[in-house]
Amino acid sequence: MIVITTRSRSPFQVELAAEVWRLETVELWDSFRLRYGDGVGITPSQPVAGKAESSIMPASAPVQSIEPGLLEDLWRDSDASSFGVARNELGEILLSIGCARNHGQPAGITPSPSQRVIFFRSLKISDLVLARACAQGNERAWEHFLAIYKLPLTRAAIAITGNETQGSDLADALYAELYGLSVRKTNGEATSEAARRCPLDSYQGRGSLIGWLRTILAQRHVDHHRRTWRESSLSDLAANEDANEYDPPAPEPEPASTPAELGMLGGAIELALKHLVAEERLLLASYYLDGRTLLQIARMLHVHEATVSRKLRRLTDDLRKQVLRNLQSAGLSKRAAQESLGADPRDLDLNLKKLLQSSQSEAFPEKAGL
Amino acid sequence: MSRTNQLGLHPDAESLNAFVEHLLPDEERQQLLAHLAVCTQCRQVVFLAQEAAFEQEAQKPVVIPEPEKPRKSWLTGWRPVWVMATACAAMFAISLPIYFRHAAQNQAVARMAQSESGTTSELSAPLAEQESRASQELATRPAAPSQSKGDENKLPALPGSSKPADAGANAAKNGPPVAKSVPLPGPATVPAPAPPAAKPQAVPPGGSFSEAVMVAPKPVDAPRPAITETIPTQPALSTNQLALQNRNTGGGSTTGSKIHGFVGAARAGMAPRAAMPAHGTNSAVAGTSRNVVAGTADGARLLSPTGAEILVLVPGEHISAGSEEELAAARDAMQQSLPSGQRPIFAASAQHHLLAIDAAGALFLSNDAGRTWEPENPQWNGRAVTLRVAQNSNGAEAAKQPDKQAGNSAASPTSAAGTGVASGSVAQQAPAVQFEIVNDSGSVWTSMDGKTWTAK
Repeated sequence: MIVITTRSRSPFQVELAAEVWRLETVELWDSFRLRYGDGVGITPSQPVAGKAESSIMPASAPVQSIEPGLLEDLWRDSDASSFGVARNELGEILLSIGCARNHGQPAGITPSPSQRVIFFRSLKISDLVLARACAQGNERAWEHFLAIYKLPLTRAAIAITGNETQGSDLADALYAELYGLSVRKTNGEATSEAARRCPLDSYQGRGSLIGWLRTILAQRHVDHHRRTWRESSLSDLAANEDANEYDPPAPEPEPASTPAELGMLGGAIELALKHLVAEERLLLASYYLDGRTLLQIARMLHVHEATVSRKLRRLTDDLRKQVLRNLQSAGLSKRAAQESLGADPRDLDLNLKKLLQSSQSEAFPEKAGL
Repeated sequence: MSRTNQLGLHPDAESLNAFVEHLLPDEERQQLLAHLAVCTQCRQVVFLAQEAAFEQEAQKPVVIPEPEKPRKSWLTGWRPVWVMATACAAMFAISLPIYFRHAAQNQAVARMAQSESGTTSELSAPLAEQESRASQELATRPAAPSQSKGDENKLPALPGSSKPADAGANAAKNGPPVAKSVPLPGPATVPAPAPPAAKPQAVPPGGSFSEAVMVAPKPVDAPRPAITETIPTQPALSTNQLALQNRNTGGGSTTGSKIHGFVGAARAGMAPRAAMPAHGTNSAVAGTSRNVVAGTADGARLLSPTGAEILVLVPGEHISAGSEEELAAARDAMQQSLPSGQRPIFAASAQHHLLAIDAAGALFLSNDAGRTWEPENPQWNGRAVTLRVAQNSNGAEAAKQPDKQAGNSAASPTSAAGTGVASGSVAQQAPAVQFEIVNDSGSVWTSMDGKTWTAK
């Protein structure tokens, strides 16, 4: 048993890579979630249990109630009565979401009543009521859900997978999961059937329900791809190297004598990448590592395509200048620094992907240690 | 699904979806950006969800919006105003020359009327005097019996206003009706022209005959001239043939209708359109000038004292002629093109001469009913704007002589039967007609044959 202690309650401030790697039982995972909140999952496809909402609230969080007028308005606007959701039930749901998200405020800040009202008003209350009613097994809510979301969900699955068959399978699997599957709890050697868990319980209404479902589909697809990719034999992958873009690990190179300039160059690049901010890292990773288009990046960042292009050009120019400065500061002359930039990248012992993804401490500056 | 197949922690679907939909607070967004920068899987999830959302948006059935009307500029609302203003300006530009042309014609008419007023007043004075005397008698006679009865408050009953029941009562009380006691004029007889005993008072516009009578001096001992005139009765008016007898010098009409300007203008050769009814038949008897002007749907006809037409004035068509045949010739001429290449604006025909002027004021003469035209050299100043056939003053003077000898001749059957109105005093001899040209300054030139023109 591993005991995790932390001084911060933010789920993104915890680095538990090695420890979570060993969490093999549900009980341990549940205890982890109880401690660090609802907005965290081990994998992107990790469903979040709604039943733990009440238990994930920090013990020190003050129990507050929603103003009756606001609750009445939200209850009426969401048409909760048609799905069998009572006012007090809706109030409990909203309170749990507000406490889990600290009413949209950063951790450690007590939200004011007006901020709480704004947070509750910003929720997609109709989608939230529908999702919770479906999670509770309301037949009418399910009929309404299927009437509204069945076709869009199938289309989204097909769009995500790029294949109609795989998309239909993915959507059907999600339907089954949404309807609720019994989770087997393992307690040592014994296995017991637990209550049905519906992923819709984890929907909190911050975004639209269809968007949340698309994200769930994408997570499932990524997980499926990773599983199947891991299950593929290396020989098959090597045969279809060009098709699936699999790059088998190169044989261990002979320990060649690395020139001093190349070593200095690698160090200068590593140093320059370490000082990049989160958005700049994301731009570089999305464009150069993932091969995303400018349009896709622009949509993700909600900026214009030309803005992404300009930022990328400026970013590469700045990186080059910074590398030159680092080389000069390392003792090379300006001319020698410029000549070293002309070295063959294949001669560099440098993993850019690792470098870009190794600066997590910079991305979560408030993250505390274990 | 294994929950331990990956290292690290990832934001849940709620946060990723909120990031895709741009609903995250700034601080949380920065945290998620930092995670996305280092997490390939979450970037992949975000990109896949995002692309699926955009594809779904693109697959939505395109609702073709109703074609929006092009946005109207602020100037569009003024377009009708501009159109109307342009139309008004065009109409004004067109009507201005017409107005000035008619003004010049009216001036010419007024001058001609003034020139003839001397003759007219002389002719009309005796008749007006006699008429006023008769009217005075009509106005004063009915009051006598009532005054004898001592009823001073009773207004004198006019013959025209007495009802049949009242007539019977009056017959019982006051004897026979007043209208019968007054010797009404018999058949029209042209009185001998006598020196004007008193200058008749002109009937003011809008005035009435009785008012004119009241202001006229009453000659007590003067012998009553024989006024032989058939006064149209009311039933004749009800047949949509309004008869109007108008003493041109102010004698007034027994019917009360007054078209004073009409008669004057008609005698001068121009019938003002305002006085010309569009439909129906109006007749005016110019007793003093012994010309009968009958206004019909075709126009005004100036009749000779004998009843023969000597002038035909067609309103709306600038045509004047001395007879029906000549009128037809003038109408045909209006449809032809003159040697100048233009169409006539005025055509006049009399005594087998057909004259026409074009818009430039050039005069053309035809002696063969418009088959051939000869241009005439202008012998007048300015530009000829009006051409007409008018009565020659010499002819009018000549017409006075037969009047003296006419005695109690009957009214002309042509005028009486043709128009259904009474004829005035007629003469036995038709006056001569002549052509008249009015230039743009209102001066008048006359000619008998259309070749030789003299200033009037």
